Amino acid sequence: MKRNVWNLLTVVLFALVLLAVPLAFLLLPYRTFSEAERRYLAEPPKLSDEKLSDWSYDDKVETFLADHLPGRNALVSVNAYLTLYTGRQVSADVFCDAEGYLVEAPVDFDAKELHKRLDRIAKLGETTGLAPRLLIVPSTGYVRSDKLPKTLAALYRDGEALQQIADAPGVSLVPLAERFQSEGQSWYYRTDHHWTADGAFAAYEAYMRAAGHEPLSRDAFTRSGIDGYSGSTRSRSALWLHPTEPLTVDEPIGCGISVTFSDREGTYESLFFAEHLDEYDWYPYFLDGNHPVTVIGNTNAAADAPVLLMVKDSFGNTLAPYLVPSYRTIVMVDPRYYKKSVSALAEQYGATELLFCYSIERIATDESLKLLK
Amino acid sequence: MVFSSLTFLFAFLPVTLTGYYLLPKKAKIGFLLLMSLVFYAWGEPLYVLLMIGSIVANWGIGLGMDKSARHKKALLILSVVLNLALLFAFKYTGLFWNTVKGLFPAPLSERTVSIRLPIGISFFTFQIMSYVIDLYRGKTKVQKNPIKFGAYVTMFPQLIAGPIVRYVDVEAQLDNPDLSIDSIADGVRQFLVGLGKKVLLANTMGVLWAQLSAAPADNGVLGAWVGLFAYTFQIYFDFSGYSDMACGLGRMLGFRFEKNFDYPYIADSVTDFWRRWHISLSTWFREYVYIPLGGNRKGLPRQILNLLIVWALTGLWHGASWNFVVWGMYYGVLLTLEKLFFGRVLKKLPKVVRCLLTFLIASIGWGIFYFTDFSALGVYFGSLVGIGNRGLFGAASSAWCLGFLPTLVLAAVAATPLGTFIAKKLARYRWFRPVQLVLCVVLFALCIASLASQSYNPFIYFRF
Repeated sequence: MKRNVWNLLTVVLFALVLLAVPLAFLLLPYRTFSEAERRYLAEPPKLSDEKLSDWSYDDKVETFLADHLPGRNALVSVNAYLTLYTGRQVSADVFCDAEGYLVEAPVDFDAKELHKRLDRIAKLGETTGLAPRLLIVPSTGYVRSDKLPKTLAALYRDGEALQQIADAPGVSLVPLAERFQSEGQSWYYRTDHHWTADGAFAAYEAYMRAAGHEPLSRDAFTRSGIDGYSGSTRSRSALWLHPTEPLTVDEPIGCGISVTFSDREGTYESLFFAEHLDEYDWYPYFLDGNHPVTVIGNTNAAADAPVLLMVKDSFGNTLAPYLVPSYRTIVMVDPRYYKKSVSALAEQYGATELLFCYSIERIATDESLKLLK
Repeated sequence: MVFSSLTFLFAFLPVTLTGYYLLPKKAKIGFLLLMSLVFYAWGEPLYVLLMIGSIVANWGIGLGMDKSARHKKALLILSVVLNLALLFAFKYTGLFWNTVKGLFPAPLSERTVSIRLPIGISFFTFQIMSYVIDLYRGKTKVQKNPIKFGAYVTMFPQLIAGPIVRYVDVEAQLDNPDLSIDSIADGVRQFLVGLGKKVLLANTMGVLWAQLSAAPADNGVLGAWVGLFAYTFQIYFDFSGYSDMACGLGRMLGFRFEKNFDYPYIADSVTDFWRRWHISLSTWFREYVYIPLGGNRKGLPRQILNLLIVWALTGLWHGASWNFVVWGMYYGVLLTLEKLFFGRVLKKLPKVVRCLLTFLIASIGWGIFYFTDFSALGVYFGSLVGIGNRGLFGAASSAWCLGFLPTLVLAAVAATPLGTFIAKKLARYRWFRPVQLVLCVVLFALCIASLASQSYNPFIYFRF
């Protein structure tokens, strides 16, 4: 008799799950975007697009159901923690280190491909007559490799890539990785692949010294923190029980700032764009995120202050605020969105310095750098 | 549609089970046939017509055999030829054409043949043949009802990847499915265990194998072996998981299928391995090929020949590629040698050694089974003995192997009867029942979580 009760319960529970999930799927509101995963969810597949000879409707329905499964966020997170705690994080895109930093898995870099990009950069140096300085941000996993299991740490080849950049002709590497590795500060966010204000400030100091300027002290900036930041590695990892953290911001004191964008109307007097704090991705708080060309003017700079042309990925957006007090104009170019001549820009603005600010991943893999002119 | 999919779990299964349980007894089988056709058509909207044609033809032939004793043999031959022709046309034409083309390249090289394999054709063709042959032998009665015959062939739990259910085994159940709560609950548990084997173990091992098989030169010798073992576990949990789900679903619908796997990786000889692996296929070949050929009744040379024929066919059944024939022959030769010489030597070894040796033989077999391209097979087997790869472990392969070590250990334990043994012991205690229920819930939740997250989910045995 007792056995029957538990068997009955087993059947009832199984039936409940089988019925409740499709019911919830039908009743819950339809979502098109997942903020937690930062991506658009699959759209309902159309039967009319299908050919009987090349039938893949069932796959598309499966993807659609997986994306819109009730409780998807919780389920995806359960699976991510299961992968982490059974030791299989090598198969994930994001590793969790011993202190809970969510770091990107290493990119497979190809020396030949890297050199194609470095050659292009050296050429731009020749055309503009400016010496290209490369500020390359090593990956979090490489800098914090002592916090990762040895087998995972061994997969990061940043050292090799940085050496190749240092040895390449026509470009000069700004020394940064050594300091990041030797001083154990929070150079990076726990939940994002970007550097923190500390990391960006250290990079600023390194660049200024390399360019022959005296960097300003920390007192020239006011530090603030905005709580609740959840970056890209947290959303990609699905380890959503990991805590959020403050977004750290340094604002230069006493600058007359004007910011213009090549693809956005208006002139702005601040380097920071608070409207993005209402969105799922906060990083565009810095200089409104990525634009083809961003021009920052400082009316309080000396008339003979230098003009900087910065070719960059998103790391440049958090570096720029430190550079503002020392430059008359900073022209930021993102070749992923700007396909025209960069050397023409250098001439137009009378640039006196040329900086490339890139993460090691982008310098090794970004296709747009191969088309640089 | 595969069982380990959200479409199956949360669309097909709820509708099918609800309808099946609510309908009156007389309508159940017809509904099961209808839903099984939907199940097949979901993945094969064109070939479902081929399957229906084959069912109708063989059902008709069965009626004819029953009516006319004089034409019985002719009808049997017609049916066998028809079924094998269908299988050959859709499964082996490409292989045949490419092989002929390889031998006579000049006049033929321009043309290529590509026919998409209808899912499960090898399984349902063998099921149909079991009915016709048994009918001829007088082992079973004719099935006059086309709906019941159709339901037997298409029954969705075993339609596309087995087990190969012989008609004689379910004949009586077609009229009287057992729908008691205890039986359904057993079915639910068996289904969840199968789902867990597939989703949590096979797919995970598949991820490791995909990584290690991609660039064998970077693995190192140990990495290459771990890769091969990962595939060995993947294919077992994939296929036996599917069989468990099939048997579990069968139980939920009131049918009992014979078990298809019996812990093959604890086998202590190759003969023993094949008594435990894909039992329904070995039974089929023994019943319908080996014994009709004379089995072991016509002297040793004939027996050896029979063995080799059966194993070449078994290999070929697994796929239209020569590596499957090599794989089949590998077992044919090993089984023959074991019968003639090694069997006696093996018996003198300790059991643990025998089991490990058999596991190693099976793993190497799976290597042959996996690589349809002989040069890739050569490269991988080279890397197992240190040819063409670097050292014991590559940097990436050591990270992968160590990371997956806990799952590998779990897989190794799950491949033994230890879990079943403990569950049986504990079943005596009252407190175990709620624990068992909780375990089922957790297992189901983890499986759904994994399905919601991953796109990597193909069943290996769908190629056949």
